[in-house]
Order: sequence, then C-alpha cells, then structure tokens
Amino acid sequence: MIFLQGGPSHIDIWDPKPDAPANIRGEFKPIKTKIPGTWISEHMPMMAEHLDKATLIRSMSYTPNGLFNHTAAIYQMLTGYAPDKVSPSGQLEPPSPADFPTAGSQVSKLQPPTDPVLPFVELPRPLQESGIIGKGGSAGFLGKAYDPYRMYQDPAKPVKLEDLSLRKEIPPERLKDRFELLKGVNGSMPDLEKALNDYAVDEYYGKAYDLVLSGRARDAMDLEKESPAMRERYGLQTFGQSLLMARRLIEAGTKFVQVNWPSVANGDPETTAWDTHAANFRPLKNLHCPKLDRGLSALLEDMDQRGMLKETLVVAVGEFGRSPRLGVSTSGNSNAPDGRDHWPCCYSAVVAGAGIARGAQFGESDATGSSPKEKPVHPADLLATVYFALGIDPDMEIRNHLNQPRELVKGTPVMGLWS
Amino acid sequence: MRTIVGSRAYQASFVTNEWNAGDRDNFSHAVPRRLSAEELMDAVSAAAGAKAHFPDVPEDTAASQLVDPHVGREGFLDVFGRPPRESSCECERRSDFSLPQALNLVNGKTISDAVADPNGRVAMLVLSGKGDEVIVDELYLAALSRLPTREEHARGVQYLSSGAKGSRAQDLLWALLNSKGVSLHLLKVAIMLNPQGHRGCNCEGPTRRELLRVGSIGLIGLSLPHFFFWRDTVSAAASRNTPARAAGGRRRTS
Repeated sequence: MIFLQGGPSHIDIWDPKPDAPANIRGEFKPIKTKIPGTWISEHMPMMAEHLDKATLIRSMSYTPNGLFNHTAAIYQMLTGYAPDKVSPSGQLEPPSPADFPTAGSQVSKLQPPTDPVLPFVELPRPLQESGIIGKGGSAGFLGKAYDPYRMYQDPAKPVKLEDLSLRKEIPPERLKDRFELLKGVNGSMPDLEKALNDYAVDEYYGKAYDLVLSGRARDAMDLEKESPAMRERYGLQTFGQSLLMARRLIEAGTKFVQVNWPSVANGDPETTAWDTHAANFRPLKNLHCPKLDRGLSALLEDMDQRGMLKETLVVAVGEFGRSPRLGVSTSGNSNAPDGRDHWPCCYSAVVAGAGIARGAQFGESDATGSSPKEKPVHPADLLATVYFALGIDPDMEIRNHLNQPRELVKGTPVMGLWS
Repeated sequence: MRTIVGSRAYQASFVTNEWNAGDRDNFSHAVPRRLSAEELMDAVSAAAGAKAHFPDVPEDTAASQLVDPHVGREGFLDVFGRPPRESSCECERRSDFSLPQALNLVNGKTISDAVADPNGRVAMLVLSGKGDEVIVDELYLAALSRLPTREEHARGVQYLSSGAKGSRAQDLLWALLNSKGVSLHLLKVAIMLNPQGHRGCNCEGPTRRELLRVGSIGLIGLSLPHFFFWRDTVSAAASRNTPARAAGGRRRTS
C-alpha cells in the first residue's frame, strides 16, 4: 500500500484535461503512455513507460460525511469506515483503541505470515495530519498486537534496528542456552502451560526467537545489500528507498507493507506535501512528481522482473484528489490562485499485480475531472478489492471492542479490474 | 483482607477439570491474565533488584507510580499496553500478548539490563560467594515467590556449574522472568471486587477504574497471598515435594 497522504492532484498527475479551460487544465501537458489512448502528465514520463504493468483507475469517488478534510478521509480509505466522531472540521481526532483497524492490521490478523518476519510494516513514518499521528493507521480494537511495526527512520540513511538485532553481550549460542533453560522452567509447570494456552505464548516466543536469530527481517531492512544502481533506480530519497525496502520486506515474507508519503498530510507543498492549496505547479513539477514517478515506476518494473507482481498487490492512492478549478475553496481552507483544494468527488489510483489487468484504464472522469463519468469506485470498494485480492472475504464478520458484529468492510470488490 | 485472600474464590486453582474448563463466569477456577505493563516492569525490577530509570521523575519512581503517560514513551510500557489516556474508554488498556512484546522480553533492554545490572540481585549473589544451591533458591524466590522443586533445583544448579557463574546466573534469572509464571500471573483481586465487571465490560481484565476503586487494597492484595504462601513454604522447605507449589505459587485452602 503506497499511501500518498495529502491528496495528490489527479488532474496534474494521472488524469490531464488538455481541452478544459485554463483555470482547470493547469500548466502541465499530457504525454502518451503504454496504455493505448490513456495520457498522463508530462512530469510522469517513467510511469508512462511502465503503466503497461498496471491498471489506472480514474473514477475513485465518494461524498464525504461533513467537510472534506484529511484525517477523516485517510481513516475511511484505510479502514473502510467513516470515523464516528468527526470534529466539525473533519479532522484532528487522535487514534483511539476503539478505532476500526487499518487494512494492514486486519490482514496481519487474518493471514499471519508463515516465515519468521514482521507481519505488517509501516514506512518511513506513521500517517500524520497536523499534530494527529496515526489516525486510520492503527490496529484499533484488534489490539496493539496487530499494530504495524513502525520504522520512525529514514530508509535513505543507515537504519538502526536494535530490537531485531542480537544484543552484543548475547551471542546466538547464549540465546539458545537461555531458551533451553526457559523451556525447562516452563516445562516444570505443566498445569500453568495448559491454563495459558489461549495466550499463544510459546508461539510468540518462538517467532521472536526466530526473528532475532534468523535475522531475516533485519536483512530485509538492510538496503546496503542492494546494488548502488538499484538504489539509484528507486531514487536516493526517503520515498524511493522506502519503496525499495518495501519490496525487500515483501520478498522476505512480510504480509503487508504500507509506505506513506513522507510529508505530513497537510504539510507545506514547497517541501513535498501533496496538499497544494497554494503553489500547485512548481513544487509538483520539481519535487513531488519526480520522486513519485521514479519510485513507483521502479517498484513496478523491479517487482515485475522478479515475478513478484503475480502474487503481490500494489496500490498507490491518496485520500482524495484536488479541485478541478484553481483557486476556489471546497474545504473551508483558503487557496492561492495557483492552488487546488481537496476534491473527494473524483480522483485516481494505480493498482497492479495479483492478476489485475496489465496496461488498462478503469473508469473515466468527466470533461473537467469533477466526477466519474462511469464505473465509480468508492474507497471502501477499493479496500474490499484489496481484501478480495488477498483471498479474504470482504463480507466476513468481525467483532469490535464491544463484541458487536461488523462487516470487515462495507464495500464490493471491483471485479472489473481483473477483466 | 485476610477474608478476601483466604476465600474459596480467591484461592481457587487455575487447574481445570472436564466440568469447569469452559467456565469463565462462576469463579469455579482462576483465570490467568497477563500482568499489566506497569506491574510487569515493577515485577522485573523487584525480582532483579535493579530499578528502572525514567527521565524527568524522581529517582526510585516505580512504573506503577508514573502519572504522565508520556514518560518512557514508545518503550516497554507502551509495548505492553499502558493506556495513553487519550480517551475515557476502558479498552485503552490492553492485556493481550503479541509479537513486539515477545521481542521485547527476549531481546529488549528491560529484562536483559535488569539481570545484568552490576548492583542487581544476580551480581550481589555471585559476589557474596554463596553456593549454587543458595543462588538457585534465591532466584526462584525472587522471580516466582516460591522455592524450586527438587528437579528444578537440580537443573538450576547443574546449569550454574556448567559455565561462568555470573553469566549463567543471569541466564537463569532471565529464563525465570520470561517464564509463564511471571508475565502471565494469576491476579484475581480486582475481578472479585467487581464481579459484573469481569464479563460484559468493554475489555478483558480489571480496568483502571476498578483498580482505582480498589486502591491500596489491590496493591497489598498482590503481595499478601505471596506472603502467606512464602511463610508456609519456608517452614515446609525441608520437604520439597509439593506439586501445587510447582504449578505457580498457589495452593488450595481446604
């Protein structure tokens, strides 16, 4: 899951409207892609070459409950549910243990990995809008056991992994001795062992032991093991190196990796946040698009060459798009004449792998990119598609913290993506 | 206090039989639960004789005395489900067991540093020149509040004598602290005082509110049965043959 938090402008990246009036089409020109008849922004040239491995959805759409702000939209995108306590501005609700679980947490609970690896990793930092960190990105009522393993580090720099590395004073032999001893201590309390079956203690200890001793998770996060050429292909910055690390983690057996766009959702567009209320064009052209273009195309190309796309689903999407008209306010925020505001009514997503059609466009927006002309895809439908692709029934019943039955997601898988 | 701790319900064993194995409502047997984050951290400190140090609070502050959930953020306490105090939901406190927790216990610094503390229990015992027999007894008492059974004792002594005593004793305490006897201890005080709360509430185990209601009783209640038990054990230490003791430091009251 490549989550482009902040709301990337669909018209300036994936869905150009060259025939629309100047205050809609913006400054960028369209270029041809490997999908016949589908053009994207001139600042995404590498993706244009590699779209033949993916489906471009141009009809993502929903009508928000209340105002159009990031946190509520992110929560909906990643959990499938609208937050029940939306503040008047639709934002700034901190994560709570009663939250609906994020997709990666659901997957790591429903399909735990069989290898000694971390089940769910979030790179390079948690989701964030203003001071609210991790809303929509936590295990919520599933419990902390299913929270993502969060990096809090920049993969473009050498990373420290203390909890995954053996301690200096404890060589492997000594850890083995300790486990033998532990087995003996527990073994002499058979009644206690039986009473504690529900906690699966041995299973978790076994996994922790394997994780530390095997070093697979640690190796997966060691980008020094990649050639300089490969690292450069992904882009020598936080986003690109996070995608490379994601590929290594999936290769090692991790079930779900979420790479968040490294800027705060409502951060400054001049420093690569997608939230371009002002200065939509220059930063997009010079900062945002080159990183996204290089990183995402490298990931698709690399995973395809390794045969990983057959069994892995790649989704790149944000919480919404941006207003077709320049300089108008849709969210209550002020916008500069060259800025675009939040726009949930129509936006785009890239999906690839897991048998999804290669080199196809799904859905279409209207003449101004304001709403889908056909085949609208609700974020909950996209999430249902993710579960379906992983072999999880999107309609299955789960229980929340009050032991009430809930649907895993109230959406329908978009079967058209496989045709 | 004595009445509560001596009651049939409190003294019930966690050993189940074919008729009560499925029961979780009628106090027919004890239900184990994991120690809370603060309890576990303080238990490790007490057993290892090595205090945890928290930034910006007075020296000797125990984890259970921390008022601000920001102290020691993202560390041991948060991994084990200390409530962030962001909402009034009792479900904020988690008592489940997870992979990050196992990783922390196995390879994290809390237990590893505590057993290797130069002023801690292991270091003091080894430096005092006591024999392996005494060290094994002391470590079992410190970690599990009971003496080892004969087999446990023999195994412990054998382990200590087969290598450098200092690091071997650290290993033994490490194994005891990681054993199911410590992290998943039996605790019934809070549940007993609020029978309704133990089912149908939002979450498993006693809640913060219940613990507050119990107040100091809860804290004393934790150590009292250990005290009674320990007193009896010491007097009976000569004959080391009680299987109930081996099963986690509880006995049935007849």
